[in-house]
Amino acid sequence: MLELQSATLAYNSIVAVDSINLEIKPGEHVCLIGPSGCGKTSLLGLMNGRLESSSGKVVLDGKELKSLSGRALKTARSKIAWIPQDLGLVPNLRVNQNIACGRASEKGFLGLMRSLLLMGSREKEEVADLLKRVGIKEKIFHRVDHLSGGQQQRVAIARALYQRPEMILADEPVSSVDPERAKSLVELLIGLAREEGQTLVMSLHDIDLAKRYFDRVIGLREGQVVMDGAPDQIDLEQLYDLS
Amino acid sequence: MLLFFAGLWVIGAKPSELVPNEGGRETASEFLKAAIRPALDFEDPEMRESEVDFIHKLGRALWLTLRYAVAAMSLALLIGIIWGVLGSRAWWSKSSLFLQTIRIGSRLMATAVRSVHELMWALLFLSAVGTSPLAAVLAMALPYGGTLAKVFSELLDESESSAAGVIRMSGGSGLAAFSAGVVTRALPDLATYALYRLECAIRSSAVLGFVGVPTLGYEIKTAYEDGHYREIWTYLYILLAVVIFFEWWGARMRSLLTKGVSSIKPEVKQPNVDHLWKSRGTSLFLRSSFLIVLIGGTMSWLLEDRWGSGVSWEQKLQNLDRFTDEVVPYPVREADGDWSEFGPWFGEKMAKGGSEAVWQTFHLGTASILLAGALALLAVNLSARTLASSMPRGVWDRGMAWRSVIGAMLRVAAMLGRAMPEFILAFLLLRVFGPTVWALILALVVHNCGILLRLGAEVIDNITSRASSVILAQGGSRTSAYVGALVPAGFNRMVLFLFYRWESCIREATVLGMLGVASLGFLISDAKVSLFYDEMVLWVALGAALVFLGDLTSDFVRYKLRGKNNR
Amino acid sequence: MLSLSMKLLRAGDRSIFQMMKGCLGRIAITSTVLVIASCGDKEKVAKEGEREKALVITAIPDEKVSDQEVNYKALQEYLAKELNIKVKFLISSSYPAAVERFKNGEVHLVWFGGYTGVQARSAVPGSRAIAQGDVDPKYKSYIIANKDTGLTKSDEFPSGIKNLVFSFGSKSSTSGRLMPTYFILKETGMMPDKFFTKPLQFQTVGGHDATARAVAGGSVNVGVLSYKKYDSMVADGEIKAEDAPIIWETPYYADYNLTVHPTLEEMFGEGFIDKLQKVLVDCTDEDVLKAFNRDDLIPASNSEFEGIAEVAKELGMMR
Repeated sequence: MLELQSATLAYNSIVAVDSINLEIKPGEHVCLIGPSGCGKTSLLGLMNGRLESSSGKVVLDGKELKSLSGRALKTARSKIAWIPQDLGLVPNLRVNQNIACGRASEKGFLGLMRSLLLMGSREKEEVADLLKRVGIKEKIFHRVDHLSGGQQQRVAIARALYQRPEMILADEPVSSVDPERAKSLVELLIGLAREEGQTLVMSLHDIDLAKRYFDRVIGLREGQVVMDGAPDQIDLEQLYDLS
Repeated sequence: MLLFFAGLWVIGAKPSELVPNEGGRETASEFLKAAIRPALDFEDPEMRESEVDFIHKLGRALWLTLRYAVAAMSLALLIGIIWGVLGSRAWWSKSSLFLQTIRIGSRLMATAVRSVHELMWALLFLSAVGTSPLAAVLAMALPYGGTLAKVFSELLDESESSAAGVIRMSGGSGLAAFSAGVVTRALPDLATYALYRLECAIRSSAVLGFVGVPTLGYEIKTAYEDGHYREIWTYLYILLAVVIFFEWWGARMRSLLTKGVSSIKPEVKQPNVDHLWKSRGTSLFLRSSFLIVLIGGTMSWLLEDRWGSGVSWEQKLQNLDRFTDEVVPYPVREADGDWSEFGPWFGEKMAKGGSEAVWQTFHLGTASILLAGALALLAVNLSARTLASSMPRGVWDRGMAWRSVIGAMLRVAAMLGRAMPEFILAFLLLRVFGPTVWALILALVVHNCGILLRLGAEVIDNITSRASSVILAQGGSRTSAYVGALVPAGFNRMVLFLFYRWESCIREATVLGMLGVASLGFLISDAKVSLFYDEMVLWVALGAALVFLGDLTSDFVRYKLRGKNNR
Repeated sequence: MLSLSMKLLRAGDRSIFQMMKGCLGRIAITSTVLVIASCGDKEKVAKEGEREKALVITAIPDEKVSDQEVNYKALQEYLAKELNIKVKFLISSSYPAAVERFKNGEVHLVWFGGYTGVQARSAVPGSRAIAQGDVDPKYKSYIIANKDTGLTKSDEFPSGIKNLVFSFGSKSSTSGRLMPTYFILKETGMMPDKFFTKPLQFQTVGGHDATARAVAGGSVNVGVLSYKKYDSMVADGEIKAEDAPIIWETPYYADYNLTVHPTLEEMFGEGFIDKLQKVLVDCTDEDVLKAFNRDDLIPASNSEFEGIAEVAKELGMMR
């Protein structure tokens, strides 16, 4: 369970996240929504400890993230999978090698190197099954930069799943994809998270997608939460200040 | 910008001599005549009787040239990787001040080490360690390691991306994040650059022959002494062929590594993992190259039977000791280590030709690169593949077939210019033109123009804007398309390359003076003759300082330009 | 090995792991074998080095270097036979290289010029000049000029040459640079770089041969070189005296010598150097003496060359 207590992120006289109080329970599917620059990426960054809050606390399963270090921090981090906006894939590596990076924490450095250089057949099968679930099994040994945008996104999703996390944070995973594909991707991610019982926090800018697939929508504007609840409560005007 | 070029060049041209072509014309014509009939056997009838076969001698020189180059590169790779990683920002993610100083220190050390030309290192090592293959290999490995380190650091920094961040955020160690996230991304560029350096190493290895290392340069020098011009040409042809081969090999590797090989469709309808694995995209070329590199690297070290100079270890240590002692400036030595004597000695040396030599070296290098750059800028118009064809920039232009011929000829000429080591070219030109600065300038210009032409052509070919096509479609000539659309688009990048070659030119200019014309190299060879190691080291250090400054300037300019590009 | 590798690489059936195992295995085995083999060689060489110490000879490259190997062969055989030791010859690529090798103890018996000999002996205490050619105590240089200059032989120093293009020999050459510089200084009161109005040239390769050819061919107007080399070249027909006539002769000075490294006494026992000296001086074999281009060898001593040392110090070429 993730809790933010008056978490603030400020730098260079810019307040990206303004004293937010939030609680995310295990198994929830949350959608972050808001105009660009409203602080979605920063908020996600605070959640997995990628960014350090300037004030306030970020508490994961009862432990404050700031206080963790070393092995404890790594363990905490391994529970959260992060899919950045640019997907964070290595383009000149193969799909299976990218997926293997998902368990970097578990394998350790040497294990990861071994998987990258000479992946064992058992692991190959596991990766192949995972890819089947996201629908691109036959691309398993293709170079990532030979894949289309949508396929690359599936790879990123697969990698996040391979990590076997408790929580998945996805930063605008469908912003560069056409609406049709966006729909199927969001569906995919939600379905998989539901299967595994994982918490999912996704940031989107498409209201329709938010409304359709999520039980809980958090609206952000200029670093502050302006709404937090069921999707039908989304107030466009409040979010986008269309006046 | 153009004014800046013209102005500098005028100043640079002043210290140089008059237009060449003295009595060396006869030598020149004889020399050139021999070009078309390279010798396949000894020219001296006496030598033909001896047991050693000419081809055998040629083969041996070539073999040693390659072996030393490969051995040096393998060592350089090791040095480069370690220093490169230490010097990259990507490695030191937790930036504590102490660790940052290590990073900056590594970078500075790498730059300092590569500011000294390998020929200089060779002179120093040969004096200190004795004549041995190890001296030659170390002399190349050090500066090349420094260059690799610097470039590796830069490439690693460029490859910083969210991939590493993702790994770290999933709980992976910093090491895992670095290796899997940053290094893997940079790997194609790292490998490509290393291969390019290997090509350079072969040239350097040949040039080291001029200080006694038994490589191709040595054979060229002795063949020249004997007046066996045809033999010289044989050696040159072989050297050029080998270098060009490595250039081709490197280029092929680069395209394979960066673009990757696409998989083939498995025949089975429902392929399982095994089928997919077998049908993945692999390249026989890539894999055999990798194998050859590995084997070649190890063999080059194992096959050398005499690494040492045949002198006992105590003697070697004694020699080294004595050398380090003699490197200390004379007055300081006489005054029992009183370093206050250094100032006046230094001042005296600078006054007696030192500062002039520094000045000349600087101008020689700068003038040459400016000339090379100007020529390249003009010639790229004619040689870039996308322009010099009957379908320039995708716009059909009837009946200009001769354009593609000229383009091809220019490209071949550039290739030869690139493959030719500047030192050897200068050596030969000096025989033709007599001891004027022009021989050196020409040597530098030919080589660097070749490089700039290639780089410039690549820039032009890769420009995706269609402005040039528009000009051509409207009936404009290629030149107007070039000047009007392509040059402005690619200018920044071309200037980047110019600066990159600039400090290389200065380094080369330092060394070319050893051939007998005014520059720091001349003073260095003088110092060596009198065995004044302290002076020798002083001049080498000054030359290095010059290059170092040039390097910093070039970095600064590149940084600024890149910033502008990224905006 | 190559075909094996190719077969392995083409075998698409095996997984890369197995393939690499195969390849790596082979590489590992071959490398290990080679390492062991080369180790074995090194051991042998090391033992040989201890058992069979060799007398290493070299010479300054004052002429074409490619002839040296051939010319020194007879000397090698002679010394090996007379002294019952192993003898090796190395080519030195430059004057300073020969001196450095001597300093470093890599070579033991060297045919030096006057200047290089003095450099070597002052760097290695205990080293001795033991022999020289019969003509070497009274050596001289010739200044020669291209026939187009119209200059002829004179007893007076030809100061008219100051506006011509002048070339020395190698920078370290006694007869080709050091002594001529000294004499120019004495005769004109100026150092050569001030005296000559056009830039000076040095022959970076080929030594005296190159100087002679440069003058005869016309690429320089005037040059200075060893008198002996000039005479030999004219005698062999390599250059024609009319093309490059002598215009001035320098006064006499001591030049070439054979210098030995003191470690020879350690290596081969006391008294070895004296034995070596005797063997060299007593030699009358033409082929052996061809190495030095001399008719006979006579004993030498360090003191004979002190004059050269003085000159070098005066010219700032020695400390």
